[in-house]
Amino acid sequence: MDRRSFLKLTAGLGLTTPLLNIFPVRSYDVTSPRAVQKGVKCIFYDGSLCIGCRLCQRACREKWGLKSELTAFHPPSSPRLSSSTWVTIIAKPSRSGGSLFARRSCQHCDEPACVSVCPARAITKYESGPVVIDEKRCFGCQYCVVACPFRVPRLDPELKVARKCTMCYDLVTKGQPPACVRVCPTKALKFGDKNEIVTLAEERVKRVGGYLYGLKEAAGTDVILLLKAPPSELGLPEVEESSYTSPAVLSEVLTARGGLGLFGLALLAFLGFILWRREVIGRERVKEIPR
Amino acid sequence: MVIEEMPWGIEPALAIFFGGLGGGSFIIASYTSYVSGEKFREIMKFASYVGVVSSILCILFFSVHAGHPERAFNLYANFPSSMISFGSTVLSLIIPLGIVYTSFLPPESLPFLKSLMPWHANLKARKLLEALMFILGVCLVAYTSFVLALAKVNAFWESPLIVLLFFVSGVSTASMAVGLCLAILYHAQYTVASKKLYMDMMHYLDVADSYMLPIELVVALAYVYVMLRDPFTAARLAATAVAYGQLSGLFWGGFIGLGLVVPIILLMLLTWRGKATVFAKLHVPLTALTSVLVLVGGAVMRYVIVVAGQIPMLIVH
Repeated sequence: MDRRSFLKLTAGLGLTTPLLNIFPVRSYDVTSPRAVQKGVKCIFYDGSLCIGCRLCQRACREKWGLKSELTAFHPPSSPRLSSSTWVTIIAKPSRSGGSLFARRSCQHCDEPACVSVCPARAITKYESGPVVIDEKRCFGCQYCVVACPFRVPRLDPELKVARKCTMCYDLVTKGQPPACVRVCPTKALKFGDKNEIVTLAEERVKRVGGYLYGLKEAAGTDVILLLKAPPSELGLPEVEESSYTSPAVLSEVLTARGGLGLFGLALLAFLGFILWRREVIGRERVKEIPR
Repeated sequence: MVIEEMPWGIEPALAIFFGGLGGGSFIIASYTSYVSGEKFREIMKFASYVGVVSSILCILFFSVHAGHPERAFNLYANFPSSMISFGSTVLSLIIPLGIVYTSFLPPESLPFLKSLMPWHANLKARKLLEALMFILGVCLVAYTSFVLALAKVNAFWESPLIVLLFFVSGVSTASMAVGLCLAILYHAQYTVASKKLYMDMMHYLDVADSYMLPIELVVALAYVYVMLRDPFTAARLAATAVAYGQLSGLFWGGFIGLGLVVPIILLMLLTWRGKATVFAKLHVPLTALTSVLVLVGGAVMRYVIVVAGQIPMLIVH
């Protein structure tokens, strides 16, 4: 290969790299957020009203027939999310005495990473909001477990399928609130149209202070939490505001950060080729020298 | 921190390793054909065998890991959004086509196979297939890295350097796997000419790996260094576990030490001033030893990276 061909090929590769972005991926419409679409439902958890009674955990367990882990009140302990605990209330001691509470469950993302990575299309994002796993289609590969920014789905050790909160989709699709919302005695859990819930959450945070979690994380979710302490202090995962779906991440890896990597890869391949070829030609020339 | 709690453990790591080895083998086969023509036909032959076996092992380890392998037909449903659907499609193409490709390169020791496969002498068809196998090989190696890189939440995996590292490692392990086959079968060669040819081929692969392994070493060190300084806590936590924590023994001892530095030294000795060195008599056993070390190192590297990326997951409530 002469120098001219090498330069042509390198330039060609460099120019075609951006074309990889036209790879036909299932796109999520980020220009028209689901929040403004009619019929999208949302759960709002107000940490300033929660008293940590865990009736929501019990309602979830009873509704779905789960064998949830036990919860203790003195000292307060809450189970980690598992294949049989789909919602849990975390209690952390407050600096001013008392406890701070936070809810851990599926956030029902607007652009769910789990839906985009599931090879079996076993996970569906309903138009009304819930993200639901079809246990009869699940292959048990745990890619959703690995890819969820909120670390929610878990593999059931007996059923060998991923399981998580369904937002009681059977009720929600009929316009009724999920089981956890129905039983909350202090109205710390609210359910309604997403645009109304977002307005309510913003008003509440102005009035009582705190942090909103789930409004912008992972490009928006259908479960919004009002927390009295930073999410990381309450044991919630730190999540970026950008989308975690594989098409979105693929474009990140291939362009801004990955473009350099791909160019390096192409360059290294050519370097290897040239060195290898030189070695072969060199050895062939040595053989041709008369002794 | 309990590593057993992690969703992806040793089976996915081995599936990723064998995927890289399989894809790398088809790259080696096509590349050798392009660079050296028919001279090193044995390299193409062993590379295609290694490629087919490794691709099958990739599927097997992934199936062992899955909860419901009987639902494997569902795996193509989310192509190309899900990298596993993409990988399943590539594997479903590469295995049958790889078997067809091996039929163009029947073993000399079984002459009856040649009469059963009269098309094996059709060089034009084989060259066309080689071009396709090269593309599929690149796709398979790319899949093994993108399947991790697209799980953005594990910030340790979301790096273009992982794509580079897995690519170089896939090709270098494939080259060494073929080298191991040649070293094992060297003693079954009874003519001086065939022994010389085998020695030439081992030297050829040693030279190729003597360039690739230092590149892999630099990329691996750069990857950990960059991740130690990443703005995301998750990436720093994982990199710390790899560099100084519970995975450091496997990383430094198993991968960097035994899997890269020792093979680089051995390859330098083997390729220094060509074959006519004092190591000529030890060439075959040393090539075999180098190959085993590189292969084990490659598997250890995949395991370390797969496990490290998930460490931050165990910290949240």
